[in-house]
Amino acid sequence: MKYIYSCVFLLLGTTASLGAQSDLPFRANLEESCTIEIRSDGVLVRDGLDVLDSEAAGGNSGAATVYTTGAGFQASLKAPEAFSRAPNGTGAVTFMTTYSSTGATSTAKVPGSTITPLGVGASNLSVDLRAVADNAIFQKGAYEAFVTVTCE
Amino acid sequence: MKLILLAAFIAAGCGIGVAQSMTPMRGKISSFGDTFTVRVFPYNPYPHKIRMAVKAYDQDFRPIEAHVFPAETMVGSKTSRSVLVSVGFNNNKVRRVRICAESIPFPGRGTNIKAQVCGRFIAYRID
Repeated sequence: MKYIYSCVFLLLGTTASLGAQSDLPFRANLEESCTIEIRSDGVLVRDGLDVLDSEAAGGNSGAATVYTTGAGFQASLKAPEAFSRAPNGTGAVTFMTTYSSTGATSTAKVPGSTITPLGVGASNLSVDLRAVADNAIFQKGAYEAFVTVTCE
Repeated sequence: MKLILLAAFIAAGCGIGVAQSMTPMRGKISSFGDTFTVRVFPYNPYPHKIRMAVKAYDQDFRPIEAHVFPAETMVGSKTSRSVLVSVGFNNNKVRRVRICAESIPFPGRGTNIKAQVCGRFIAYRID
């Protein structure tokens, strides 16, 4: 009987020691990409009779975060050519955009057309718009314009 | 009831924010024909669907003639759509283009921001 128990223990021990181990690999091959997240729209307020400016008291900058997963990407802004919505009779308007960045890309305020190389990671852009009426004043009513954030 | 209305407005406001991504962002294409075709995948990383347009530009960011299918599409949450873009060589042997996925924001008030993610592609015509 002792002999049988010894054989069983010996067999169990052998089985345990023969337990195989193998690594199961998980792999990923990510493409470089750029993602723009619009976090908040801006707010234009009057700054004199002929100027609407998001930097004036009561206005708000727009905020966007640009996520890049590789080097070589760059960001810039395109100013609107006209208001997409404005009261009837609104004449020609000159638009100027600026932006600054924190996070993966640190930039002091620059004109919107400035092309800024982006660091890898999340870059937080603060976007401002100024609209100047050409020889006119802004009448009461709703105004809407779109600034385009470009990552390429 | 007021609370429900407030929540609805907040939810609607959250829906205005749009984001997008696109792959690939770089590419080289060799084509035997008068046109070359690129397949891109705009991606919506957000928990709500968004409307996107895909457009083609030249290397100086001027709009160029291109056959884009679909040119405009709704992209569901955390999904991507396959979009085919065909561009002519215009009698050139090499053509550099930008293909951009652009968000189409919901109309609102004030200063809105549009997102534009552009891939750069260079196409070679093989005779």
